[in-house]
Amino acid sequence: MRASLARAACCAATLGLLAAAAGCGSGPQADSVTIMVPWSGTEFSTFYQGVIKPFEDKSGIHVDVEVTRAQDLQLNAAVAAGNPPDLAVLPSVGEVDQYANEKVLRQLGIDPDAYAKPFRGLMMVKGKVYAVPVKADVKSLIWYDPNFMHGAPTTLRALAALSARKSTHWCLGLASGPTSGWPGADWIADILLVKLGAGGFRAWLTGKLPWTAPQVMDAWTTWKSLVRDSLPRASLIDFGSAAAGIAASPPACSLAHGALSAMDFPSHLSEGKNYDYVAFSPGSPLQVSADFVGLFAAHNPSATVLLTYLSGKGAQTAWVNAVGSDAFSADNGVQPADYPKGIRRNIAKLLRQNSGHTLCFSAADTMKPDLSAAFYQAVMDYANGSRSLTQIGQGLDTIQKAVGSSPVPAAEICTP
Amino acid sequence: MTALAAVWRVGRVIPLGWYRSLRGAHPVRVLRWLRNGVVAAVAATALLNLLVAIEARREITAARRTSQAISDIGKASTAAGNAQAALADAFQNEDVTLIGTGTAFANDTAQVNTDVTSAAEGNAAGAEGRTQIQFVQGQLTTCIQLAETAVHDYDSLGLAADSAALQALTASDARDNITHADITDTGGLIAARRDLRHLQQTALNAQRGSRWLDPTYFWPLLLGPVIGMLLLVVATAYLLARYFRRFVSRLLVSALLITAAVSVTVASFSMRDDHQLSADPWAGLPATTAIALVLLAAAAALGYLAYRPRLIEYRFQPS
Repeated sequence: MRASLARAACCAATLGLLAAAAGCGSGPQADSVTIMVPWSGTEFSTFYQGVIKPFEDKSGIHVDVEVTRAQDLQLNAAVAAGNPPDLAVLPSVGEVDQYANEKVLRQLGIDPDAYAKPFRGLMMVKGKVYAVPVKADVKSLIWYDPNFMHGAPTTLRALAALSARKSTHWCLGLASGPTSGWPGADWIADILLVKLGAGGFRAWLTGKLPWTAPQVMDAWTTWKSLVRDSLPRASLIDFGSAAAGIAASPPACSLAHGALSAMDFPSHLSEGKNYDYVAFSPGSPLQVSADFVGLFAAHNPSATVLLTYLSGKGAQTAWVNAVGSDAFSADNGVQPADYPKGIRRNIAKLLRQNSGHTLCFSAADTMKPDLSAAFYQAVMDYANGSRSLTQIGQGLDTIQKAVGSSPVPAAEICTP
Repeated sequence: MTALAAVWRVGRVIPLGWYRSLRGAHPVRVLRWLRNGVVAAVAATALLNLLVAIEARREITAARRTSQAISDIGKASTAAGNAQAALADAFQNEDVTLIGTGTAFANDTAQVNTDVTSAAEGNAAGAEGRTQIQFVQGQLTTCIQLAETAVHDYDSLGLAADSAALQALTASDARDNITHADITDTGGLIAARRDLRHLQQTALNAQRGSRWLDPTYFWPLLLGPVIGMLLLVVATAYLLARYFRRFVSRLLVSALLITAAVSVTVASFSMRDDHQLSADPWAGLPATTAIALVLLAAAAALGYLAYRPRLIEYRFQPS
């Protein structure tokens, strides 16, 4: 009886093994990471070819890059649906704060001291690191054609004098899809920074100085007077392609304002020869910005691997040296000497703490997302003449009261 | 002694020992082993038939859902194209300040949303598919918002106001500088939908190529026990002829034929089901399963009874 039972058990085990052998053996799934980025054109291709492709080749991890100009909108929708990408580039500190407070951003084990100020302080929410700056920029720059002028005017007084003669000098494009208006917002913030200094800039962003304050209103009107003849068509011109007017024959314009990444200079132009830059209003603080990467994935180790790679010195150096790159690094380990010689190396020096400039983080990127969106739309309305400045100021004050002022502590907005 | 030599020795000793004990065993004892083997082969056939039918049905159901999702994405693409035309038409021919983006655009974008939501139910690409569906829905929301902004800006910008919305709809994917291949998820709504369709099609191809729907996998799986049973029947015939001067029983041959017939039929049904992604796979029908199991139970009984006369003749107490 016992022998029969043993045989039956043996038979059952064999059949079970047979079935298990038939059923098992599905291969492991390939590792992949999704990252949402707001970059397009050259900005995207240098990131993809110079940073992502080498990562894929080296690690074997597939990276699915989602490109959208409506980053804020799409990321919000994805987070609300409970299905965010593994990683996302967050151009605004307001977004970092929002997602960290909603507890959808994961805390990171990255040392903030490895990054330059003011970016260092912006990585953190309530003392914990939630985002890493992977791409930095200097916004307070004026671009000009050296063939037409020997050095651009840099002070507001000189610029005003130039504009009084002919304000079509400015290559101005405000169109940028859902974030249209931001080039004007940067301009206005720069003027405000020159006129009020870092203290006034902080007061404005923290809500102590309202939008309807005469000093703030004055920045808007100063901007309009500088670019008045370029303004009517600016809403229709893409921000990047506006700068190409410098190279047109005959030149459509000769001056442009903004970061290098916002100047889509045609590739046949050579820096220093066809275009050069000066810092806006020497002695005044400079506006800088950064694109931060935040981690949303809870259970994808490959996402952490990619984040660590993107924030490391190797990837940062590769990025700034990629063909056609306009990226700058906030990583202390990437020195100006690591950049290609010329304009980019000189701009990189401005980002160093010993550059002699006070660096203030981009005004709109420091605001709450709803307020910065309203600021951009207000610039469009102001440019199109569809709303008066008083209406705009009152509207922005109302929104600021509703959503709150900048989540960034005043001390972190500007650092000497 | 090296490890290799040890493995070689063990490898030789085990079959050798088994062969010696087989040679030394009484023919009746060997006959009993053969009977057990035949019954086990029939049981294995039943188990594998059941497994193939269940798994194939599961895979077919999933593949049909994916196929439906691809069809929904196709419909969404058509609706997105219509939305693009409707938006351009509204700005060209109608007064957008009065009617906004227009009923046609609203209907088409609503259709896109419905189709993508339906497609999400059949997503076969896992987390990557979910993220991509979310991305497409985000693209749709962006397009609608940009179209509304364009209406808002129409008075000041005129016809050019809709350029950003149209761009968000129609922008093509960026290209890899080296391979010149399109980089997925880098274009507008229509391109994103194409990328999503491609992803789901790849997932469907993987489902259709899964082992439970692959004839080169399930045919050997179903016929393996039958071939094993055939060898056992041949061995039985040899043993009966040599030691008992008898022919193999007709019951045993019948058991073999029934088992083979069931396996071939189920495999053929599976092939037909997989090819057509059948809504009601024949191999998985309760009637098919019930008939197959009854026949196989009969085959097992016949196989068992086929050995009975010889084993009864030589019944002795197991040592």
